[in-house]
Amino acid sequence: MVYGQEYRYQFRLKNVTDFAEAKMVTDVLRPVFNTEAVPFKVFPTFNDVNDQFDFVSEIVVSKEQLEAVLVANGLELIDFTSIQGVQSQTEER
Amino acid sequence: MKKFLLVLGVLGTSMTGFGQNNNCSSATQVCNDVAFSGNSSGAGSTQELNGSNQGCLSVEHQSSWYYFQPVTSGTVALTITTSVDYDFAIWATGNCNALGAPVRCSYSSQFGNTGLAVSIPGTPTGCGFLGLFACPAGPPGDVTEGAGGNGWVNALNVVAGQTYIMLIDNFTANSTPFTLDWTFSAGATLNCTPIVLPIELTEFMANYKAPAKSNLVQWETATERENDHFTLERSTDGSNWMIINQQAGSENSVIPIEYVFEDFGYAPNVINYYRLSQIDYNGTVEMFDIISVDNSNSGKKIVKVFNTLGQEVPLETVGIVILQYEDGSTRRVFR
Repeated sequence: MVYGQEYRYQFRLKNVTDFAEAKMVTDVLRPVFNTEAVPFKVFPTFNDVNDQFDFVSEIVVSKEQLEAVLVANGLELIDFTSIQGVQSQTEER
Repeated sequence: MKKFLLVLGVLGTSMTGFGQNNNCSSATQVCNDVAFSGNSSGAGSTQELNGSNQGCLSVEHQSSWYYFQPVTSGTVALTITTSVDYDFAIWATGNCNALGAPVRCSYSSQFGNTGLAVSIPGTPTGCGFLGLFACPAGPPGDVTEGAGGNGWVNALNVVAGQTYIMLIDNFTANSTPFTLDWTFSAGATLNCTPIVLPIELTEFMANYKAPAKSNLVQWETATERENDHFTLERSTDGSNWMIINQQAGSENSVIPIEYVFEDFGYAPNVINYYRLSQIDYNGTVEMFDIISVDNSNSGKKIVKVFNTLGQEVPLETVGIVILQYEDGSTRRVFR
């Protein structure tokens, strides 16, 4: 994990297609994109229109790292992109 | 396991400070229907939720704990006004260490207001002729709901004298505050006098330790609330007591804490009695059971213990027992 720069993450999960299903996996995603010291800084925002998680984190997470966590929790990653150095396009929380 | 009661001297004011009540053990008492605001910085030092008590919830994120006790039975509804995703649960108990299953629980993924309702807020359309008219408001129809819920569960029919613990958790965890509005009906009112909540003493024992020639006194609490300190006293006749030790309490705790005092000043060749009391921040004193150590035969090994019926019982049996020593002598003691 690398800190100090922002990365925008966009990905979808199989069978996660509404807010209720997104909430059920939020606690799985939180530790991946937050530090232990500040566990709630980033909220993995879900876009109900395209069924996509879309948020910004300072932590560098590869597709493989995310997949490993998801598989361990019975979840499947459909697609994944990370863009380095972008500003948050999500609502400020 | 014995339960003891500690009379709390804390009178809740219905208001909570930021981050002051994010553990169940430091829950704020609510005693009237005045709306108040709340907030939290995190889950507190203790993650109280587990498989036995979490109900529809997962874990605490930014939690605020409250408790209330109706003085008259009736119906309680409440609205948690917020713009983010708040969840909540209510347990019909006053014991943080044994919450059990919640009686009301909402884990809805909806952002915005949530709570207990007699009828679902709002006036949905789509009823009547051609579906053009407002539908009559109906009850939520559930007492617990998962992420797919609408944010509203049935109002709670509360029972006078029953203590209720409530957790309000900011799932979004962005420190957005909430306002809580109460609606009491059917005669429900809350108790504003100090509430009795249990402090659980799971162990209080004393044993002679031959190598050190001392009486080792030990006690353990499962939960503590507003606990200032413990006082340990000793007596040889059960009437005249002398303070031999004072230890600071742990204020508020929901984890087991063990206390130990090694008494080298016990009276030899007699039975020494020990009495433990707990003093809270308001000076309220709670006395616990008296225990004893038989020092009349210190140094001689006990080989058997009998009850008053002459039946052999385990060595640690309490009450009136007959001790048989290695030299064949016996002694009837109360411990």
